[in-house]
Amino acid sequence: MSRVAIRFPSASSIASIFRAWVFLRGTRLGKRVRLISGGRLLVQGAARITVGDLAWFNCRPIPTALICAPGAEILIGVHSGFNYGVLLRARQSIRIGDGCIFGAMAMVRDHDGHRTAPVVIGDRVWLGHAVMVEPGVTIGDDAVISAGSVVMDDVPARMIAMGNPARCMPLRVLRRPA
Amino acid sequence: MGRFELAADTVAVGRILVPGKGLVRVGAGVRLDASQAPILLMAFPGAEIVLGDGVVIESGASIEAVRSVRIGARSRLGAFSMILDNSFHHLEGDRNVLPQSHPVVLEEDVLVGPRSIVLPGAHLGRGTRVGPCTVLSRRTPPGAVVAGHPAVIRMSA
Repeated sequence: MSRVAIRFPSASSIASIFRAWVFLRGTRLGKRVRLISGGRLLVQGAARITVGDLAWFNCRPIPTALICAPGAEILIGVHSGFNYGVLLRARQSIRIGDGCIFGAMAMVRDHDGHRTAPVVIGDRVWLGHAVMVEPGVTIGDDAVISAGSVVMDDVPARMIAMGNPARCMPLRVLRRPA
Repeated sequence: MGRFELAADTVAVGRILVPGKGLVRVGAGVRLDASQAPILLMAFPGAEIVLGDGVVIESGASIEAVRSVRIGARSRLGAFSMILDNSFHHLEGDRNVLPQSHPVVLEEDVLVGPRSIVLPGAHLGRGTRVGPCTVLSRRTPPGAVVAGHPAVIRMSA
């Protein structure tokens, strides 16, 4: 196992913090929020969006969008990361915990045209590439959602959900000897 | 900027992003159609992305290689499809540590449907057809038709 972590060259630079400050103007913005590797961040309803300390966004090549309707709220916890093309679309409430990782093109929305129900995502949740989270879903701490899954039911803590529709299994089932 | 080797007759429309420091080798007669959304060819340092002759890549497709992604001649990647050879985070424990890479190989004449995801360790045999929105991470026999999430072999040659 290689012990190398991938870091973007601009990951901790002042420029990335300044870019995040420009695009997230008007939100309740934590300290040292970064917009790494350039690109645009699309924000609507900034006054009702809260972004925690050390959160990071990657908006290249496809912009990330945070869209918050009047009367709704989006809460993003400390040190959560969003890869490119993520879409958060709130008409009531989307709450995201601390240390979450959102893969590219993930989509979380709390309304689907028929019903509106709040979405709660726990701490240290990892959403894979192109995951879609349906309204009313609660995802527990340390859960992993496999790439391309469509999550329609609640995912308990420390479970992995995969498939369309997503089915859960405990993470320890997939644990391999090191 | 990494090494970008280009053969003759490559046609590119729109923006092609090659941000990595690794090697991207593009064969003869490759068509990169990024007219709707940018195509991302991300080769991390020491990695290689090899596109064979006559490969067609449609809009929004992305290839991310930490070690090796090889795409055979005359293959076609659908719009917004994604090929990865590393899952970038561990399921448990420290998620900032890079897990082991498993090279991805697409042999000749493979068709990858739009919005499909090819995960680390996949090896698509010659002439495999992958349906739209499929997610797969296994070896497929030559000429198979694969679809669904999780992927199922619907037809074998």
